[in-house]
Amino acid sequence: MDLALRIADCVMSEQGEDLVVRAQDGDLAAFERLVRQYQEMAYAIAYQVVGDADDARDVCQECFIKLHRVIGQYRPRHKFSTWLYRLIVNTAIDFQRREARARHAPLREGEEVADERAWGGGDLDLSLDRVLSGLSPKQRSAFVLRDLQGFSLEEVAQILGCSAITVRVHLHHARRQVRERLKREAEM
Amino acid sequence: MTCKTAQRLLPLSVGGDLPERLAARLSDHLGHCEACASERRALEAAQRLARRAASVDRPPPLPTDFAARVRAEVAGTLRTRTTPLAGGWTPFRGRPLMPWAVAAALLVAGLGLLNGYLRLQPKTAPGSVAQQGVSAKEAVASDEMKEESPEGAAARLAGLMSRLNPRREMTDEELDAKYPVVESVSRPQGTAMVYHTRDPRVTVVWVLEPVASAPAKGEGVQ
Repeated sequence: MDLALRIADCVMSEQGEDLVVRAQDGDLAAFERLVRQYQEMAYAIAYQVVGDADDARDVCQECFIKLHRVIGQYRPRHKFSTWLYRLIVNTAIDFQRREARARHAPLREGEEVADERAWGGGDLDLSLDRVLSGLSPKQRSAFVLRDLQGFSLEEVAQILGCSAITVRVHLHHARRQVRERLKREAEM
Repeated sequence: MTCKTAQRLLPLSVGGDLPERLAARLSDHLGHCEACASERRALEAAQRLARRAASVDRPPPLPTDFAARVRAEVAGTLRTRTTPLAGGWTPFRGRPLMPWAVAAALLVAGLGLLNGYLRLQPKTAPGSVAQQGVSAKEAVASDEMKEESPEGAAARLAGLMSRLNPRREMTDEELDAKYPVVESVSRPQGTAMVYHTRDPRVTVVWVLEPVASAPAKGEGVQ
């Protein structure tokens, strides 16, 4: 996780638990404060997973509205932030899949969806969405969480709701594909 | 360690995601294999570039009243999700509802309800003594059974057997094993035997075997 986000997360975790309890009791003001505390982090992750600012805002809004619906199911045995990250990533992955279906271009594991022509012309295009565009939603989420946001392998596994071994598999494919993409770009 | 193995491990090694033992073995290999070391440098460079892209490629900030808008949406004060809000941001851009998906969901729900309703209906054969928890003694004493003709009993036995053994795959012995007799009572008009089935909808089956004529059968449903 970014250092700023990590510090914010530590500060939030103390105040956050109280807000969560109040939000669970239907306190909308507490819920709004909770949203304010986590919105930047949620937006950053959503943006890196879906690759578009408008889409990321939609994902964030959808995620927080969903949070209001399901916050009663949260139990303190899990860290609230990890629980919320999972909601964000799942919402973002669902969003990507819906969008892919709407474009009649279903994403499959490892499918290349980027416009290869966009990589011509010499200089490296450092748009993150282009760098990550060949990855499946799960691979991309694992890469974003582990390599860009700095979560530990175990945290990524918790957020994605899978085993650490599965996360390793996603990371293996994601890193190799990112490397291949940038290599191709450098050769052009 | 071979180069093939090393190549498989390299993507995980650049993120520090290899177990220590494997990482040490890979490190030994990289010490004397320039090709693999070069591949590792390329993977590290790609990771750095991706991080650089992430640091440069930042989205525009969220609207300052984002949390208030979410709260308003939750509270139901925003009547429509497609009404543009101040700042040009539409919280929910219109998405097709996919009528076929709604129709399919309704159809599945309807079939589920119908199935549940049918499952709740007691399975009774016409004319049989269908009482919940009927005992052999009660079955033999029932008025219906007393009035049962041999032909009617034979027909109901055939119907019962076709339900218990629809493809005639089971022999009589197998039927006996599958539907063990748990109770039997003898009366002048015959012997009633209570069987248990594995079908939760038909937990008790009784069969009345008259002494001299064709067997009279019935079934109880629980």
